[in-house]
Parts: sequence; C-alpha cells; structure tokens
Amino acid sequence: MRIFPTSPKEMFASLWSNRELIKASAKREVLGRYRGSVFGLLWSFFNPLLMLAIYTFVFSVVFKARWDVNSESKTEFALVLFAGLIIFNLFSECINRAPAIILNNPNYVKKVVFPLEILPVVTLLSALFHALISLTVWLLAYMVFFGVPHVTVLYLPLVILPLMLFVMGVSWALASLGVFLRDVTQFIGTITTVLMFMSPIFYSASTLPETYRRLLFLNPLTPFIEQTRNVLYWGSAPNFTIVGIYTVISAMIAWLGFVWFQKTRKGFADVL
Amino acid sequence: MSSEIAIKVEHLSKCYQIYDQPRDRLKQFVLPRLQRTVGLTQKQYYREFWALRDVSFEVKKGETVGITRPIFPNTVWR
Repeated sequence: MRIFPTSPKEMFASLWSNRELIKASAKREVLGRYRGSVFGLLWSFFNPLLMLAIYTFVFSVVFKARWDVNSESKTEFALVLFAGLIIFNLFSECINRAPAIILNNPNYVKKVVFPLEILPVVTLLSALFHALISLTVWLLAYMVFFGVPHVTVLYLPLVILPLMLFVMGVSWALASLGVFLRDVTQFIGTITTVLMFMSPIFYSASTLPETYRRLLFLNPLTPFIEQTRNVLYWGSAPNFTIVGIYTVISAMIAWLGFVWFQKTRKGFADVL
Repeated sequence: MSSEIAIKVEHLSKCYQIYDQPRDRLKQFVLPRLQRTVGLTQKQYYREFWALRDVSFEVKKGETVGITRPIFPNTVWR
C-alpha cells in the first residue's frame, strides 16, 4: 500500500511539482463559473461593484452609519466594511466548499491516480482571483472618493500570506472530514455565517465593551480583517508582531491539516 | 522442470474491509489507536469480506485458464 508522506517539506514539494496542474485547474475553475454567460469574466468585476454600490447606499443613506463617531465621510463606512468583506469572502469561499471537494470528485479518488492534496489549493487560487478583482474595485472606489491610495497597500500580500496558510490547513482538514462525516457539509455554511457576524466586519472592534472585545479576538479572522483595514484604509503599517505570530501559527495549522489529510486519504476509496 | 510452470499461486488471500457508514472509517482511523494507548481492547469498525482465501494453483505452459464468477447484475458490482 502506498504511504503518503506528511513532512512539511513534502507539503510544498507536492504543490510545487504539481504547479502546472494547479494553474490549469484554477484557470478552468475561474473561467468555468462564467461559462455560457454573455458577459463572461466581466461578472467577476460587476458583482463586487454592485455589492459595493449597495453597501454604500444602505449604510450611508439608509442607516446613516459612521465608522467613527467624529467622521463626516459618507463613503467611509462602505469602504471600511468592504475591505473587511474581501478578506471574509476569501476565507468563506474556500471553507464553504472544502467539505465537498473530495465528495464531488469521487472519480479522482477511485478511477485515476490524482494528487488530491492540490484540490483545496485550486479553490484557494480561484478565491484569490476573485478577491483580487474585488480589491481592484475597492481601489478604484477609493480613488474616486478619496484620491491616491496609501503606499501601505503594498503591505497587503504580507497580511494575506498567513490567511492563505490558515485557509489551506483548515481546508485540508475539512476536505477529509467531509468524506467521513457527511454532516460537515450541512453545518459549515452556518459556521461561516456565525463567523461573519462575530468578526469586526460590520462594526469596529473598538466599539464593543471590553468583555466582548476579548471574545472577538478568539475569532481567527479578526486580526486579518483589522490588519487589512490598517494597510488599505487607515494607511498605517501592519502590526508586525501580530502578523509574525499569525504567520507562524498559520503555518503550523497548514501543516497539521496536511498531515491529517495525508493520513486519512487512504480511507477515501473505502467509503466513496 | 520448473520452467514448465507459467503461473504459480500459493496461499493467496484478499480481504476487503467493508464499512457500513462513512463515519465508521473515521472511527477505524482514530479509536483503535486510542484504545491501545489507554489499554482497552481494540475494537474493529468494519466487516471483513474475503474475496479470496488461501488459493493455490499452478498453470503450466500451454494450458488455458478462464476466470469466472457468480453472475450478478453488473450495477451491483461496479
């Protein structure tokens, strides 16, 4: 019987040696979503644009919400909210699909020899593409309302990197669990919705009472969202200590997820 | 002369582990190891299905072999 290696080195080696396949699959997934539609890939641009327009209208005109009590800007709320939402959507798109990733591809398990471990990475890349488009929309909106974006935007990859590692680890674990515990597919959507409202996306962490604020930081998404807003909107450098700690922890989670996936994958064919 | 034998099979067995529920496969990964470390008897979460059990035969050169099986609707065994 084949033994699937679990070392951290193997994690990157496998992804590197399959890079062409990953690239082709990610491309297929991005293009496949819009196949047959009249506007095609343009939808990935229209969708975030429409969402941003709706947020701006609802929160500035309907709710008259202000991110900061002293702030006069009407569009500030929408842009701050949208920045957080980009990060959350990147996370939730991967996590929501992870449990069904193996379940939906039984042929990859039973009929051919396929590097199954790349499937979560393919989803991550396609989600990353959509996040990039949303980011473009965000930057355009920022330029229209506020002018030239901050230089600190360039720090964004540094903030996203630990999030990518984190998402990969969790996706690997969920992809495997989804095969054995079919219930995971059912409740993962609820979990991500709970996480959305428990993250400081629609409100600022500083508006919460002290007791709840600590609770908010139990949510793994909170620091990613806060740091992204730092570099995108507030124009300050990310907190390097937090980013550093999260990179180390996320790398650990990525590896643990990979180990779990490799250890349990020989059972996939038994139950699919 | 041994060169007269084309295929020689001795004591060949093949056992499939049949899981009634997908979650039983997960239990089989985790629980027996836990039970061993805490000193309990290891439970088994699958049924065994012996497709072959202790099969031995020889096929000499020039002989013809056919493999057959009970006929079931094909969809069941796919």
